[in-house]
Amino acid sequence: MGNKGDIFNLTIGALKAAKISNGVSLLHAKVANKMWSHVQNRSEIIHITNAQNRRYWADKGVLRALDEHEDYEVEARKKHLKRVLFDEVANQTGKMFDPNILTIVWARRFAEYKRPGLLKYDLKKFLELVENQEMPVQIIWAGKPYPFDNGAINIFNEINYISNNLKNVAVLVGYELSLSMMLKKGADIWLNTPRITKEASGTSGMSAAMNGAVNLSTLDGWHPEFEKHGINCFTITATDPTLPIEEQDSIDNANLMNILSTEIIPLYYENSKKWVNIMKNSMLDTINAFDSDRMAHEYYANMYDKDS
Amino acid sequence: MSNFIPYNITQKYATSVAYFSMEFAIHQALKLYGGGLGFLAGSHMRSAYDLGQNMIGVGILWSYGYYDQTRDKDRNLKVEFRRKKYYFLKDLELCVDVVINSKTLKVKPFLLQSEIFNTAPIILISTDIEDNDYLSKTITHKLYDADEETIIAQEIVLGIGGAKVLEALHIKPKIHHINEGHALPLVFELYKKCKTFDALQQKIVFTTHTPEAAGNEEHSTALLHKMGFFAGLSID
Repeated sequence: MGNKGDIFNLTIGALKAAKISNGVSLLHAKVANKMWSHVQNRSEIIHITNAQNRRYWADKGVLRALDEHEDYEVEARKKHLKRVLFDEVANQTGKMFDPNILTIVWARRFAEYKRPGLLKYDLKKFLELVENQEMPVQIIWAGKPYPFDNGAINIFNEINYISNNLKNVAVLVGYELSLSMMLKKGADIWLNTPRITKEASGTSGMSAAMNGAVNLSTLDGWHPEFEKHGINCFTITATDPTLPIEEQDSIDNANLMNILSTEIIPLYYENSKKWVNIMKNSMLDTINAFDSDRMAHEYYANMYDKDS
Repeated sequence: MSNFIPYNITQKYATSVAYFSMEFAIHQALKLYGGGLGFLAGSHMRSAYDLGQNMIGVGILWSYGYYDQTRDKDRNLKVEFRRKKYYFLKDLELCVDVVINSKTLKVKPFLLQSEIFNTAPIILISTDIEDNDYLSKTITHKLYDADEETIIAQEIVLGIGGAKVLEALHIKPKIHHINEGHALPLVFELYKKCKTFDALQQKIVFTTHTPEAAGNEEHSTALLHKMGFFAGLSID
């Protein structure tokens, strides 16, 4: 079934055994159909884009403020949620963050293709970013590397080492549901940096967006289905995925730093009205479309109850 | 399945579904996940509850979870494996036999009741019980163990153990949803009871999560066969 000579591939086996299969974003289903085009007698691969449970993930205070069109309360609630997160930052690292400062979070599984270190790829530029006094930023990293992947553990420790000398950069441990919740609620910018076509969907940005964290992401996974640059999020322009990875990383880093310094940071400090609008749009464009109620419905309608 | 589902089932979600996943991220108190696959399954189980779907989850009760992430004395990352205890799971008071590497071992199900975290009910299976020898116990110790044969054994426990547990509980789902390929041995176990391959296919839906060819799990067919991955069916 998944048989290719003496090697058995679980995905091929499952594609053949199922009446119907799915990829977890529009882009991923395309990639998967192409990747498995050589497999005979396999099921059709449709797409059902991943989602997250709004009732569990979205902060009720910020949802209510959104519902009442009360922009001041959206802002105030976000500042409160930042302060709650910053208590945890201080508890773990001894660093006291300020709720008035733009806060960038990179938090998810520490896998190489997700590029946890993309932000500091050009160390000189990174230090300029974090040492800017006029328009300051705070940065938080968190996430578990696979416990037997020394490469990923080294990236974690390297970022942690860099953060030792920076009072506005924190690396947190214990990335589980509680910390993930705190980070999504307390982030201004939710940074997502997978190499294009490597991330099937990614869902952390959905639950972050439900809490008014603004996504800044490469054009991969679920992001193309959501993004309106400058309206509900920010997008790092797509880089040719066939380039050598060093080149991709270098180009993506330059684009990322450029968006931060020319668009995001000035906007946050100079146009709070527009910033709140982007926050609200990011919530409005996720609370239904990327709520797992939509997804759980689609699995019934398009897979379980589908005749084949 | 109705024994386990305390909520009213919505008519359009009446089809019975068993959702098989290696990871479930349901609540901070229940450490059965490593990353996004678990977050996805957790939200799915919550929405199944919210929408009144006729669904039951099937997963593994990882004795040590994924790992505890702490720091060493120099603040570098420290990986700790600490045994977890869950007093809120219900003992289903039965065991089934599963053959792994020609050895019969016991697989025991526990139930995460629907009301505890407002999710679909989830059956969590373990080999880490008194009746098994040490090696068998370790199969459900760590999510994504580093050892290839242990990973294959984990997949057999989830797929074949899961199918046998459902049978012992008289649960006959119309659809088996395999969330990523790990639970694939389920398919071979179900095939034994199907008259045709088509009848088997009508019971299976599959979600793939891996866009990279290299990320898709592969093993030697002979090793899988020896381990019992194909539920004793012949290789072809």
